[in-house]
Formats: sequence, structure tokens, C-alpha cells
Amino acid sequence: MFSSWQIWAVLVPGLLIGLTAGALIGVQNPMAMAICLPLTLYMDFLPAVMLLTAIFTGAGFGGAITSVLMGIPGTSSCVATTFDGYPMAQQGKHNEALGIALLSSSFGVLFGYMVLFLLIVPLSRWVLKLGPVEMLFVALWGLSTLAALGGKFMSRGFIAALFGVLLGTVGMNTSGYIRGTAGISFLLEGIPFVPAMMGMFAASQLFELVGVKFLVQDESLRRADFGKIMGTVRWLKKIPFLLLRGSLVGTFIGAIPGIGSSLANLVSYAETKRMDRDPDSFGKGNPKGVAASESANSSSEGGSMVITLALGIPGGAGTAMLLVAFGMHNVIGGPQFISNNMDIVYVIIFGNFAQAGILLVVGLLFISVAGNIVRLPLSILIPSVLVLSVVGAYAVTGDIAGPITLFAFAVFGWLMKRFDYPIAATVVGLVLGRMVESELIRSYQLSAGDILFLLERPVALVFAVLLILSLCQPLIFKAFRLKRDFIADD
Amino acid sequence: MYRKLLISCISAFLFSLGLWFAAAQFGVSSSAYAQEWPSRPLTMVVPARAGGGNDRAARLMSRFLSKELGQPIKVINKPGGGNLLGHLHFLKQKDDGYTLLRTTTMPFLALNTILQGAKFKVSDFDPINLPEQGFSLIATSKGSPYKTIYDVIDAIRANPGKVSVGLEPTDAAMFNFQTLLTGLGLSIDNVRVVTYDSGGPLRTGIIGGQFDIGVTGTQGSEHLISEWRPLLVFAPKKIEPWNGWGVPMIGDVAKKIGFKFDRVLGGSLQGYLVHATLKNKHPDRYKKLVEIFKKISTDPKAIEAHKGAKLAISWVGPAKSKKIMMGQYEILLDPKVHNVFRPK
Repeated sequence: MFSSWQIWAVLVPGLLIGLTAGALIGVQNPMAMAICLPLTLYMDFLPAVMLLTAIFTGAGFGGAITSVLMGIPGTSSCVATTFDGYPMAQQGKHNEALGIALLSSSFGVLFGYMVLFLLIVPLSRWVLKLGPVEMLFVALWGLSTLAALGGKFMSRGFIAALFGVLLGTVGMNTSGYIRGTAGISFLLEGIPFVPAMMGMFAASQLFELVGVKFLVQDESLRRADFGKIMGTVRWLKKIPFLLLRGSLVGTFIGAIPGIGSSLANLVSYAETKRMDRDPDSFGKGNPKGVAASESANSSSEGGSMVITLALGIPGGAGTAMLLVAFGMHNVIGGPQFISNNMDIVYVIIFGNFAQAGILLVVGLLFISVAGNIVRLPLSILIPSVLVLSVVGAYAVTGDIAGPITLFAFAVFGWLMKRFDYPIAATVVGLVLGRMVESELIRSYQLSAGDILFLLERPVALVFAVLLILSLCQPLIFKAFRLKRDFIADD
Repeated sequence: MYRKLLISCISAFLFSLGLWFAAAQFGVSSSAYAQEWPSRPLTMVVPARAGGGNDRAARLMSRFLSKELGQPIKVINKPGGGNLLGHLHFLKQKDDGYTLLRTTTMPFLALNTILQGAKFKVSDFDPINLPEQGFSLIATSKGSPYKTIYDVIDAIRANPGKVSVGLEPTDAAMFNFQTLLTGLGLSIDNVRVVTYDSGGPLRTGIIGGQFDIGVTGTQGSEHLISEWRPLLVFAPKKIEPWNGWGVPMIGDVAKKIGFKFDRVLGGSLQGYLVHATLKNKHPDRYKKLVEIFKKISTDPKAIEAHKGAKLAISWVGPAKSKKIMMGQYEILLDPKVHNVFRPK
């Protein structure tokens, strides 16, 4: 089965399609996979699946490019990449930032599929144990990123986050109540998240650049530099635990159906910042922030395959596309599939190990071209980005609702930036508001409001303790250090 | 010099990318006349997310359709608001036969008009073929203490307000389950309802035993038989393969316990539709579409492909499809039925 040349032939084109899609603002990987679905009809089953997973992998990293170079996340899974990636680019360290993003992504893909390879069956059983209460804690864990974001004014951060959560609840909720749609029918499904996010980030970033000639001020730093990109290997070798932690978080959160990579990158970023000795350096161009976010969003791909392959239930839109391809080739995903076709599952996993390696090469070439964006004068770059954003927003919703959302949120974004409200806090609130609300409602329904219900859910209790410990960790560290210093002084 | 060249190359690239993308989105539609219909690609609207039953069916069917029509079919997903957004989008397109719809007609079309204030009428949609009729299904996890539906009923009676039930509030399952409770002299307040927005997480929850029982649909559930224990199917007659697996139908249960259960709301009635005005405006195109759908529905290759993907395929035809659809619409017109689905 491995000898079939077709399986290998699709990897590079797949990665390139994914990278391009990911780097186009507003094009998410499920969309790129959907565009290529008809193509897979003319392939055998395994090359078809390989092509789609290669697009998945490529798009996972492609989003980092605009996040780093322009501070505009191309997809919801790389919001946290912008926090430190963009400041790095502004300091002329875009080569390093992209290099770290690429290497962390490759590592993440490899790790995620390694876990899938070793633990697919036990992991799928574990995921089934996660009910509404457990998912509520995971979503709250994501929300704890807000504490890590900081900003100039604490109160404005809170207001921005609350505003985001509130916006996240617009539409019909899980129990059928309709709120805040103002009679606009497209809002029933909630505010289209990607156009809203693009609008806020793009507007705030681009308006800030008015009057500036180039993204990177120092002309000598504007080159795409192979040496600098590869030089990050040495730096990353020093922080294997950070990469492992990010990948672990990504794989496990990715494995939970319906949650996935848009949460994983935030949680990993928040954890890394909290664990770090110098949390204040985050948000100002700390490369660890980029590594944390990118290792997590890439490893969540492997995680999302768990429930897809083991039960035939898609964990998210990307894996749903994969199941469509299964259907088109008359292959039924599900419990029987994995027990009867373990060989195919292994080919998919090993093919993805190869993808992680090839991504390094293809990605390197890709960013050495894309890195040249910083050489464009902003008078050309800004209009191009605006046009692409509008078209991208149209592509997301398929009608004018996308561009309208984009413009409305661009105004919000500009106003927020103008008055020092952190945009990232609103975006995080918007991503997680609905998730937290849905799981909270279900937890309440399931327990009939009885708080003691929590005692029946050991996994949820463990999650709760972990969450509290992780939130208090800076305090514990501080106390520990004070004590040590005290003893040393003695 | 070199830099200028590079800059113009990159900006040209960005620009053409934008153009390409715009063209792909809007569809290039200049050569739409003076040729035999269809002279350009068709679009099939799916008012649900990619990967669901309607989406899988639409993508599989479009393969055969494009072969017969000689034009590619673009499947687009327009999820949201109980299929309302996709239905509105479909009606907004020209009634020239270039846009088709694959949807769950009932209960969604009816609920859109009765409860959601949609301005269209159910009769604005004309079914060509509605081959897929799903039914509601009660299931529990493999490790659950409930071996039969009677165990569940006893448990609800013994401990009102303790048994938890996962379901989608906009699904026909909600109505059928309520009718069952009413028949038993119970009400929805005697159970803990846990609400989900889509079938995937609901089914994962049933398998994982997150609640005592779950009410979902038979469509897209057959492959899960080794993972959970189905307890009851809400169908007016015996439905395979569930009957073969020993799952009782609602009629048997009602008879055994001794109550009347006369109105089963089909889980979901799915298939392919066109604009109701197409028939008069372009009779030739309508005729061609009907013939092609009939041909595909009886083509052994298409049947095999659908069977492999666990999707229904059979030729019901426009007249009978419409009759079934309007029959279910009649049931839903009764306030006692549709008020179950009324949003708060």
C-alpha cells in the first residue's frame, strides 16, 4: 500500500494548496478542502484522503504567515500567534518568527499524529467520557487566556472581554432562545466569526499604519533570510518542554468534538505565559508565544482525527470534509471502519508523519517568498489586504453578510484601538462566549441545578482543580520564590 | 530596479489572486444563452453544514447529475436557523433551473413558515424526488442500565425529574418524544432535557452515556449499532434494519402499554427540489431534470454508491413526493404539534 506512488505525489501539491489557502485572509481549511473535494473523485481512496489531510496540515501553518507579518489572523486557530508574532515582525524579526512558527507547526503535526498512532482507541474512549460539565471547564480554561492578555488598563480589558462574550451569544442558543438578532435573519446562526475577527484586527492594524511607509522600518532587515529562519532550530532546542506542552494541549483539546484548534492555541498561549519566569515579556515579541500557539494549533489536527476515525463522527468542519470524501469513495467511517481497516488508518497516520517532514521544506520555500511582503510599500500592501479581506469575508458567508460584518467590526476595531481597549480580548470572548454558554446550559439541564452533581463527575473535578491551580500558579511561584529568597537571605 | 520589479510582481500576484478568487465565488456567467440547457455549471444549495446527511447526499448525487447534464454542479453550504437561511438563499436565486436545492423539507420548511415568520410558502418549493424518510429513534449507551424502552418508562414513572434526555429542540424527535410522554400520562417536565444544536455531538453524548437516553434520527445512525443500544423507533410501520435488530416500533410499544399513538411525525423528509415556478417558466428544463433524476435513481451504479454511503435512493417522483410533503405539513399546521417547536 505504501508503494503506491500516488499517495506520495499528492503531498506537495496538497501542502501548497493548504499553505496558500491558510495565508489568504478569511479562507479557512475546510473551505480549501471543499474546493478540492470534486478533484478527489478522480483519485483512489488513499491518495484522496492524503491530499485532503495535506491541505489540512498546510492550512494549519499557512495562517501563521499573515498573523506574523500583518497581525491579522487568517483563521481562528492562529489568533494567539498574532500576540507575539506581529510585535516580532515589527521589530524586524519576521524571519525568526516565521521560522519558529514553521518548526513548531511541523513538530505539532508530528506529535499529534504520534499520539493518534499510539492511543487512538483509548483516546476515543476517553473523549466519550467528556460530558457538558467537563467541556464547560475546558471552555473556561480557554477563557482564562483573557487574564493572560493584559493591556494598559485592567478595567478596559474586562469590558472588552465582556463585550466579546456578549456578542458571542447573539443568535439562537442551544435551547432554542433567540437573542440580539434585531430581526436580521443571518444573525440567527450567530455573528459570522471570521469576518468579525478580520474586521477588528485588520482595521485596528491597518489604521495604525497610516503614514508609515513600510511594515519593517529598518531596510536591511526586510530580506527573507534562510539563515535566520533555520537559526531558530537552535533556539527551539532549548525549549523542548514548551513545544511538548503546546502539542499535548493541542492534541487533547483537538480531540474533543466541536472544540478544536480555535481553543487550543489560546489555552497553550495562556499556559505558557503563566508558567514563564518573565510573563511580562509576552505580547511584546516573545518568541515563546509564537511557539506555544503554533505547536498547539497544528497538533490539534491529529487530535481531531481521533473521533473521526474511531466513530465516524466529525470533530469539526475539516474532519467533516474528510468524511465526505470517505462517503464519495463508498467508505463508511465509523467503528467498523477502524476495526476492519486498521491498515488504512496506519497509512493515513504514516502519511501525515511524512507530511510533517515535507511541510518543513515546502513551508521554508513558501515563507521565503511570502516573507517578501514586508518589502512592499504600505501604500500597495494596505489596499491589497483590504480587498482580499472583503473578498475573503464574502467567501466565508457566501453573501453580503460577510462584508457587512467585516465593515461593522472594522469600525468597532478602530474605535476600540483608539480608546485603548484590547481587541484580542473581544475576539477571545467572541470565540468562546457561545461555547461557554452552551456547555453551561447543558450542565445546568443535566444536573437540574444541583451543584453536588459535580461530585459524580470525577473528570470534571480534576479539570476544575487543574484550572484553579493553573490560575493561581503565578501566585504560588511568587510565594515559593519569596520563601527561597528569604531563606537565602538568612 | 530589481526591487521595483519584485514589488510589481508581488502586487500583480496579489491582484490576480483576488480576481481569481472573486471569479470563483461569483461564477463566470457570460455564456448563458444560445446553447442547449444547461450551458453553464449548476449550483446545488445545501442549507446545512458540510458533512451532514444532506451534504453527503448532495455531493454524491451531483457526481451523477453532472455526468448526465454535461455540466459541473457546485454544492454550496448555507447552514443556519433551522435551514431557514439556506431556503431563503435558494429562493433568491433565479428560477431558471440552474439552482437546485437538497434539504430536509419536513419539518423545516413548515416550521420556517409557521414559527419563524419566513415570508415564503411551502408551495414555493417543488419537490422532484424526496427519497429519504428518516424516523426518530431513542437510544442509550452500551453500558446503560436500561435494556429496553420499558425500563426507561418505569424509571421515569418511579423517579420523575431524574431521567436525563439528550435531544435537538428543533428536531421531529422533540415532538415524537413529547407525544410518547403524553400517551404515558407524563409530560416533558418529568424528565431532564439536555439540548444540543446538532446531531454529531448529540450522538457522541449518547454513545458516551452523558445522559440516560438520547432521541435522535435513524438517518446516519445505522453504522453506530455496535456502539450504542437503540430502544425504540418512531415509525408507523416496521423499518429495516432496525426491526431486524429487534428494536420495537412505536406502534408495538403503544399497543403493549395500552395507549393511542396516532400521529408519527417523520424524522425528516429529505430530497431534491426546484423553484415552483420552474415548471411553467421552463417546462423543457423541468422535464429534463425530472427525467435525469429518475434515470439516476434507477441506475444500478448510483444505487450501489448510495447504499455504500448509507444514503437512501429510490424513485418517488414529483407527484408522490409532493403528496407526502404536504401531508406532513398538514400535521405540522396543528398548533398542538408545532407549538412543541416554538422558540422562546
